[in-house]
Amino acid sequence: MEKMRLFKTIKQSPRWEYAKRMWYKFSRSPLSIAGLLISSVCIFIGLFAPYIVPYPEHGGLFHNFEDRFIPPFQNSSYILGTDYYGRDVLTRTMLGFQYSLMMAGTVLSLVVVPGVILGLVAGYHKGRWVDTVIMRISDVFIAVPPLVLALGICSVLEPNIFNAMMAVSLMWWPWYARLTYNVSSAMRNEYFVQAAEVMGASTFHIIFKEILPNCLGPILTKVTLDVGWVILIGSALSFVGLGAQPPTPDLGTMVATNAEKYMPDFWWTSIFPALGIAIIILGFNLLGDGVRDMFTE
Amino acid sequence: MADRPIEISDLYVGYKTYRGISKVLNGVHLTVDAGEKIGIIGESGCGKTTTMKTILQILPTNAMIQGGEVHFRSKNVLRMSKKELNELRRKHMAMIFQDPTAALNPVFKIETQLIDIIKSSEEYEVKKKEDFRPKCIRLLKEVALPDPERVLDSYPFQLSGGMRQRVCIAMALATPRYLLIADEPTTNLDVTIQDQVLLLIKNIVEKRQLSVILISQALGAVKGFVNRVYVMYAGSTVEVAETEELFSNPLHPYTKGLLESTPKLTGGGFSEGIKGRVPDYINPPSGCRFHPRCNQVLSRCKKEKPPFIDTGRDHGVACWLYHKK
Amino acid sequence: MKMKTYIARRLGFALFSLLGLSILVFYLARVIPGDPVLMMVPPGTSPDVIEALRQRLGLKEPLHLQYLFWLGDVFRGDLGFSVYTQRSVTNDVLEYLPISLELVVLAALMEIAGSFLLGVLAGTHAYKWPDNLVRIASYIGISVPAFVWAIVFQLIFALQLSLFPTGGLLDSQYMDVIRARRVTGFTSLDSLIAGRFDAFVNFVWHATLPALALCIGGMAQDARIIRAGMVENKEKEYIAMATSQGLPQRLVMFKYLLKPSIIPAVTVMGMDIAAMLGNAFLVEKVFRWPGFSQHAIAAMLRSDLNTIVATVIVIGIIFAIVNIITDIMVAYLDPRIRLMEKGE
Repeated sequence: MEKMRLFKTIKQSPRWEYAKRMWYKFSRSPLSIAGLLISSVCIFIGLFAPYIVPYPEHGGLFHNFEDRFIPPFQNSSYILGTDYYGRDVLTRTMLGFQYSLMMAGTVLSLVVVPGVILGLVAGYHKGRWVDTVIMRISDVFIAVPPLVLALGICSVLEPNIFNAMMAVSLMWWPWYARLTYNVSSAMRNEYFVQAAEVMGASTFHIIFKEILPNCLGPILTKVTLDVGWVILIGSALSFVGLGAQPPTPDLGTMVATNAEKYMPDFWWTSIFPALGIAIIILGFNLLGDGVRDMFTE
Repeated sequence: MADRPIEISDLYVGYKTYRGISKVLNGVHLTVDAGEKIGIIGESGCGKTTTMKTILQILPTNAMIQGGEVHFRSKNVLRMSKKELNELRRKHMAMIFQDPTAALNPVFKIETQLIDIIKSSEEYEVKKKEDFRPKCIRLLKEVALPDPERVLDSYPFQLSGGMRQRVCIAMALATPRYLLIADEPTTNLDVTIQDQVLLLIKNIVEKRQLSVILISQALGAVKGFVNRVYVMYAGSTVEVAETEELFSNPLHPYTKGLLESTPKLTGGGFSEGIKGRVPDYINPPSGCRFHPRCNQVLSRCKKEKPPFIDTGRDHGVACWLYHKK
Repeated sequence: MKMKTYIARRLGFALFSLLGLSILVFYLARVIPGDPVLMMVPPGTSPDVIEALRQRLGLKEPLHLQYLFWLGDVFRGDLGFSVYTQRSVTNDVLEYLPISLELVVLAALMEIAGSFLLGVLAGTHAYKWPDNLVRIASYIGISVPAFVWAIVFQLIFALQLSLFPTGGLLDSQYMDVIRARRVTGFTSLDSLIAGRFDAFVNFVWHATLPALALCIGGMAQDARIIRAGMVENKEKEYIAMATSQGLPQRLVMFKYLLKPSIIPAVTVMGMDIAAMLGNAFLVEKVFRWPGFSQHAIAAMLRSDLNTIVATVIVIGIIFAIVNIITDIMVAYLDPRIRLMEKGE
């Protein structure tokens, strides 16, 4: 009896209504649902790849020259075919998902929190020196297209996936600072902020309990869409040779090494990893659109 | 009867929303004769604007016309071709919107918008912009805008609310039309200029001998101006009568409540208003939509929607209280 | 504020950012990789020679002085010496940059034209089949990285269908045009100046696939934004008013609806085009386009610091210029931006 009442209370609470409405707005577009499904599958693969791939040992230095360059869809043991070393393309692509998502996850977790906090602080103290300093510094990073800066930084470091992640993180945070700054500084002079100030709320409270919740929409949208972007830039870096090195099964690296040497005869060695990149980005883009819909009327 | 400018019968319009269909118009009956001035009063959200937008066919994309007819001079507007509709809008009717800020395109100068209206409605040879300017200035002067030159060269956001509404009125008058629809033209303006703008509309209507449909929430505005008044509630027309008749002898319980709610300066003080709230259009009350709030409700009211009947002396009402059966 | 003030302010910001950027890149290049002199000399050189070299290159000075010297050099047009090509970096830039710029300009034009056409098509037929087609195409366009498009285009249109060349700048028989009579450094202009229209056509033919691969992602994104803008603004009251006044539907659609709808797209388009030069290397590598970006990458892989720094600066400058132009266009289209003071 008590449980029933508890459920009923939750169901009628404003938070539940809010969640329901969010879900309605999200689910209105079938594409957003598709995005949710695709990105969930990608995340699943990313998390559990080593356990579900048919040939885990193909992820590294491995060779089986007898089975090399088997075309896809012909051999039931190698569904997507094999590459130069006889490694299963499906396995390596799925492992590549893991690397890509790991990169996105790492970069974003390093970047979002500091960027957002800096943006909030700058936005709240708009017009004062804190604002100017923070924004000018981020302007410097924004002055160049992201890819170029990442390349520049990477090129002076040793090429490996860790450094690539660091480079991308270093130049990614200003975008969050800027976004949060734009949103929060517009809110700075709204009545609800002034009311909180008058009531004696601490700056901490105002920034994190009043302003931040209202910024979540654009921030969450950007985070979701950024998964795609980070992976794109990461794969571009690998493509150039500045990211993960072979034999690491990174999607960009695989596209680069295989496209250069084995196109067009053995097209599957680079097309399927490329498709993998595209699917992840597509999934998160669709999801990001849905997230944006959730926060728009 | 045959060439009556406007005749709306039994109009049903709904909007598709995330929670279902919002059945806003629930049987609207409206007529305007040549040269008549009509007023429509009712609460916010009772469907006044929707009705007007249906006449001009400028409803939003999620609107669905679920029944009824709208006739302009015996032609059904709902079935008009694009060309006919265009002619309707260019030559016969004009509308003044409630929110002048939203009604003006923010990225074009006033001059551009005004000239385009003039150009598209008359068969001029292709003239240059400059040739239209004197006419624009005359129009702006007619709506009592000071410094018309500056206004022409401005963007909407550079003008005050009252000025924007005057510009909208000027646009409605840019070409000769004979029916003016004024949808709460003063509601969004400062109280201090509401009077001025209303007076301006009155004068223009007199001068140009226009028919008018004036929508307002301010009963006073309507009283001094129109011949007949319709009362709308929750998507239906519930009462209509000549102005004097309506105000002195209201029949529908809603109208009575409405008139009593107006604070009077001459004694009587404040009334208590009408109990209850505006209904939810997605799940509206059954039968007569006013029944939950009515202090004279009958059992029949919950089951059947009362038809609109004439109680004599051109006084129509939709209420079971007056249905002699 | 007036247009001129607006432009001046933007220029000031850009200059400031670039300066900051140059400091950042300079320090990174000097501080991180270790000893630059050691990288320049063959192994086994005696320490005295190394010291002398250090002295000559001014590397013994404190870092901030080095920066100022470097900055002075840059303003005089001296971008340093490239270890990779054994020439002055300025030389390299002048040779390779125009080639990339041509590609980027072509891609930019394609993007602008394409996104407008597709966006308006989708916007005017919202929710019907052209719209859905454009939406699906745009999702695909956005999700697939440019280099993948490059590979796919090369595979399908060049290798399989032989409709386009698989790479390079010009066919060998036209190469004399650029070798002998290089006036501007821009192959397209040079061939026109030399009166060789056939070379010009050949050049465009070669440039089509890489330019398309470069711009298709952005085109898709912009088309969506234009479409979304049109669909959203269609419901606005000012459109209902324009229709109610009897303005012809074509006028309402293509003037009154279009102008406010393209403003957010112009912003994004500008950023995209500004970034194109930096992203061009993806495509240049696949199509063997001898441009600036692929040269820069090669230099980066060999840790040629001077080229790396110069690349970032040059791209930064172009990025800033394109952004300023975009901002000016947006300010022209949307009067609220240039005429409203903050807080109005």
